Amino acid sequence: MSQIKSNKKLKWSLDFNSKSRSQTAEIPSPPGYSQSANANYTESSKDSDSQLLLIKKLWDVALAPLKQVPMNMFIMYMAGNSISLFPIMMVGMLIIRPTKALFSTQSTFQMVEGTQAVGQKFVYMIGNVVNILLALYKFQSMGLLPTHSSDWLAFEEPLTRMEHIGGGLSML
Amino acid sequence: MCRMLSSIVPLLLLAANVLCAVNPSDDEVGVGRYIIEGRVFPPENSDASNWQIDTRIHVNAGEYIGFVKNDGTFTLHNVPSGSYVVEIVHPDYMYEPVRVEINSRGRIRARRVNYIQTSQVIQVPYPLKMKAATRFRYFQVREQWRITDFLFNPMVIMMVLPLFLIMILPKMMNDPETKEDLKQFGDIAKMTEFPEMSEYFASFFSGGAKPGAAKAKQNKKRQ
Amino acid sequence: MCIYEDQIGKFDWRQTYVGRIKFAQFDTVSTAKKIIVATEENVLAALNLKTGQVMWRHVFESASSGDIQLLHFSDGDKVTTVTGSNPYLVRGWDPTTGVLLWEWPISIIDTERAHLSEWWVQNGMLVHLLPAFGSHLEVTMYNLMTGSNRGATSKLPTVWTNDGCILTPPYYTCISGNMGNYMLLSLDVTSNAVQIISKPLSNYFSEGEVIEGNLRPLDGKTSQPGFIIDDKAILLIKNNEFEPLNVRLADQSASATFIDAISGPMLVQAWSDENKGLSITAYNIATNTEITDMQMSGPKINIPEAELLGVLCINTAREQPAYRILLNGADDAVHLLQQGGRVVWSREESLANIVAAEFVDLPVSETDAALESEFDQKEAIKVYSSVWAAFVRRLHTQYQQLHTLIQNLQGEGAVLDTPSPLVRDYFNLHKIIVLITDVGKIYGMDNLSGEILWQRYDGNLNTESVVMFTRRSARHPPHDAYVTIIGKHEETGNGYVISLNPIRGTLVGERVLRLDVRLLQVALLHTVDAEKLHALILLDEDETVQVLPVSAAPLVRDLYMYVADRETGRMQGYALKYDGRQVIAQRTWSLNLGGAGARIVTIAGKSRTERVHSAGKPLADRSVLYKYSNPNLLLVVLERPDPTHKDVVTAVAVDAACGAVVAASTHRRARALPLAVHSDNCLAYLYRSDKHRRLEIATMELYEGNERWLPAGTQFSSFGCARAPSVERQAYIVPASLTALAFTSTEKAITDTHLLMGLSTGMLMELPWAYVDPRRPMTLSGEPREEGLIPYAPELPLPAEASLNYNRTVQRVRAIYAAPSGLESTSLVLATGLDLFYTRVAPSKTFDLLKDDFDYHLISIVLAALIVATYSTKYFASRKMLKQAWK
Repeated sequence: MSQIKSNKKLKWSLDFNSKSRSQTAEIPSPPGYSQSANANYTESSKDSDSQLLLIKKLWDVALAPLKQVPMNMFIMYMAGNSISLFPIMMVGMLIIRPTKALFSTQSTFQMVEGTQAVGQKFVYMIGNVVNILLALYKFQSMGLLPTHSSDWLAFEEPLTRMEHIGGGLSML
Repeated sequence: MCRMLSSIVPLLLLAANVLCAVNPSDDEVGVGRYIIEGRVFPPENSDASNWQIDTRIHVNAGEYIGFVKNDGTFTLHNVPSGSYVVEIVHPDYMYEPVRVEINSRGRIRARRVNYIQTSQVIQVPYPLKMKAATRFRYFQVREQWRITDFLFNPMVIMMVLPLFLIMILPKMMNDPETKEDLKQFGDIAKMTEFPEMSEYFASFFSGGAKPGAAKAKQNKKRQ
Repeated sequence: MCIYEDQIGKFDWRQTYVGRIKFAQFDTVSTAKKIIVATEENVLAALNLKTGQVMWRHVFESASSGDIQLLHFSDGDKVTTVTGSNPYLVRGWDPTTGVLLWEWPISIIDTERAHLSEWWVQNGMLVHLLPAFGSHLEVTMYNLMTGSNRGATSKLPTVWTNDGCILTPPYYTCISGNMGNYMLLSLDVTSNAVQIISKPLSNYFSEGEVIEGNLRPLDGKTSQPGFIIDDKAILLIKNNEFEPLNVRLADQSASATFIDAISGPMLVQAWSDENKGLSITAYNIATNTEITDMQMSGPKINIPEAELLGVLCINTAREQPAYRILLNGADDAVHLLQQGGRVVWSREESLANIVAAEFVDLPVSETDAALESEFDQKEAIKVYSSVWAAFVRRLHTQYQQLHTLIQNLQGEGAVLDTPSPLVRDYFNLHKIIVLITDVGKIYGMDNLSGEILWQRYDGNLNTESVVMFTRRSARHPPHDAYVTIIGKHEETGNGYVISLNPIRGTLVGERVLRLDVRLLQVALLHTVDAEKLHALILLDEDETVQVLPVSAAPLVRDLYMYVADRETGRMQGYALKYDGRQVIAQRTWSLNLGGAGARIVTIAGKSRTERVHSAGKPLADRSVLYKYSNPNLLLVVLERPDPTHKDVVTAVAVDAACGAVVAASTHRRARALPLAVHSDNCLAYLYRSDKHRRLEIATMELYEGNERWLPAGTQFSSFGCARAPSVERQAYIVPASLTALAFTSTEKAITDTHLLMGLSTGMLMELPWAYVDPRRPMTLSGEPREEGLIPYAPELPLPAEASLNYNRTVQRVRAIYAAPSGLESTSLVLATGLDLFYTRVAPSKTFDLLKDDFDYHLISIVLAALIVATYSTKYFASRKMLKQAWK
């Protein structure tokens, strides 16, 4: 397949690159251009760039949970307060994802070496905790949290009786 | 009409017989004894030949019990004055109960039973004519399993249909001709729909019609 | 509860009875040979001669207006009955179908002497005789079918009549005169000429015999008028003359009848003896010989005080005619015997009058018992000291179980020689019902099949206010189950205690105990002694306490008794204490309920085995409405006449331990029915409102409120709380007439309680408590709706689907008994009355069982198909991936 494709390309396109590689080595370098300096510069910039990029990326990861909050709120609103399949699935997803993320903070941030690691982890955790709180609020409004006395009714021990009675209408 | 006559004649005969025997009791001092009479009609499509033996007439829940004769007529003797609920008891058929009131002078009035509005009077012909209202439905019908229940269940539709599509569509996609057709179809659809809609709206809002069309065309090109 | 049509007969059965037979006539003319019977229960029925089954039955009123005074049937003629007690009703029936043919009333003007009337049918005329002792006889003759009489009542002057006279149709016979100078007089009341046969009584007795002058008629339908004098001499009246028979009465208590057999006129006598059992003799009058094939003496047949109802002579193909003898016993059982003494069939008619019933668990099988004892920690600690011993024991029991399993598998094809012993089944649905009948007969009945397992007749037991206690259930092997029945002795009125094993019916423990005092009340001790037996506390009329067994006296503590007097409305409470030597009943409280002139209609207490599952009801806002669960609560319903309102009904909820009145309700212009139920915190009772002429049910529920009064798990003491609970009340109209009321009951009380009602029409209805809930709101909005409360409607719906016995009506339902089974969702129900009906009820549907029509096939097919599909798809997918990878 790839062969045919490349053939097709060659059919209709003009390739301005010549096949021989030797010619590239013979072209002299422009004046004032030193090859070594370039390499160093690019490397260092690459390093700092990559460092920055890495930190930026990690900040993205750390802020991702907070960005999810509005979407989660919308999902909660759509799910409704009744107990049926979709709401349960949605709410389950809402609470399981942040919890899992919390537990796997170590693995998501394993690439970090920089100083901002603690801050990022903290923000990440806060974001996940906010998501969890949202999910708990959803649970509460659905009535699934045992906050009221009627939820603990089944566990209350029955009263024992002290006096016993017997008797009835006179048998005389 | 004939049926009415044929029901009245034995009733009259019976009444005649009964009155002869009742006469001595009229001389009694104090409590007068009266009779409640009527006729029970069996349900139309009943094939039970012995429905008479299963039918009993309860007055005031068993205070007086009457029985039906072969032709369905019944008489309850020795009933003192007062208010009574007459109900026909049959294990298979339900009859409406009737409230019969006999006042101290012997006048008998029959009306419908209404426990909530006890003074409501909807008169019912006397001598009583009791017709079977309904057959007792004692049993629930078992839920039958039908194939439509399974197919039209929303869960099934939601899970099976996408499965169906997932399995079938790639096969359809792989075929080059259908692919081209779909592409063309998609292009045509997009080209025909959008300009129409936007043109319509442009003409509606009178002003900015051309730019709207031009924008659409530019978007197309970028794609 | 709605059931499906294919569930009929799977777990319910009905038995029909007619009652103690008063009159019986044989019908051999129609194609189906039958016996027409009229019973003490005011039932006219036809029994099949061969099998004893009821062919048709008519139930008359249970009051005295339905008493059957006469049953007449002559071959080829119609059945005639005279029912009532002034005024009377004469009815004619068709013997084959039982349909009413004609009916006309008779009223006797002289109401005081009307109960002395005698009736018989002669030559198509109904003869009515009203004696005026010492002066005359009034004879009236009516045309049997139309009721017209000739006009005048003939008065026959008879100065010699007294209350010892008997009617031997058409003769009226008396013994009059002074001691030693008795005269036997008899008169044919139907003849136009007044002819009195008069003979001195000493003619028929030999010298030196003491003549007491008692007359007794011959039993059954005799072909010739005759009577018995002094239980010795038998006389017949033929051709206007007394004719003494050569044979004398064989036994003082013998019952004799005279029939026209094929071989000639025959005298049949039957009597029963304690040692010899039943004896029957027959004597041919014409030839003066004894008929040997009728003579029998069977010690095995146990018919106490046998009474002959009728003897039938059947012409068979063989030379010798066959005889059928119908006997009635003092235990209300009726038997049909063949000549020679073989019992063709017998009917236990005392079951038409059941006074008390109790469900008893069956014992576990031996292997299960071994298992239970192994895991019972206390026992195990005693016997096994080390872990190894317990391990070895476990291995041993497992080997035993394996052994029985293999045996069962092998033995499935083999025929069961011995009937399987009564053993508890897995769901504890198979129980034994112990029934006590009015006549003093005790039965043990299998609840699944309805057959009688054992029976015991005790003529001394007076069941007026009989009480039955299960003192030990069959859950404690090796001890047997133990049931005690406390009643009164028939003659003296003293206490009479019978203790027996309900599984086998044998007497155990105290056996039959005759007390020498009259009992006031009895109670069961709540603690068990060493043998897991509950002691019985008997309170005598002089307020001394007896404890059975005596060794259990030190265990008596925390027991309070109450005695209520029905006629005065007084209640007296006692506290029972053990003072070191004996148990003393101390008077504690007394109440005079209902006001002056009140009488107690009924008292409803909680059942002994009742449990409270939840402490309150969750409301819509998720708070809890706590119930007031007082296990010592009683519901007392009283009635008293009132000058302004005709009758006033008062319902009081009383705590029986401290005598506190917890709640009360009054209803004016109403009469209470003796039906009240009480369970947990729900009380319900019925009354008939005279103002509106309808039946109403009033319900009360007692609540503590939103906060618990006592913290959970503490002890509830009747003397502790002095607060009154809040009462929710409501009354509803019942559009039918009820004769029985009960609550369903389950073991752990998790399922809802439903009301079981027995209607006067013979239907048994099951009504969910939600319909009579006093908290039903007037309007349906918001919060009450979430709780599941139905909006208030004044009339209760009684749909046909709620009937338990579909079209198998139970006549005259007297009581409904409900017992828990091993399944939490099911309650076992027995309805008694003239008929017996047993069924299973599942108030919250059978939530702990798979439904009946569970689609085993469909699910297994789908499962198999899915498994096959999964594996084949896996295989094909892997193949396809492999193919793709190779491309």
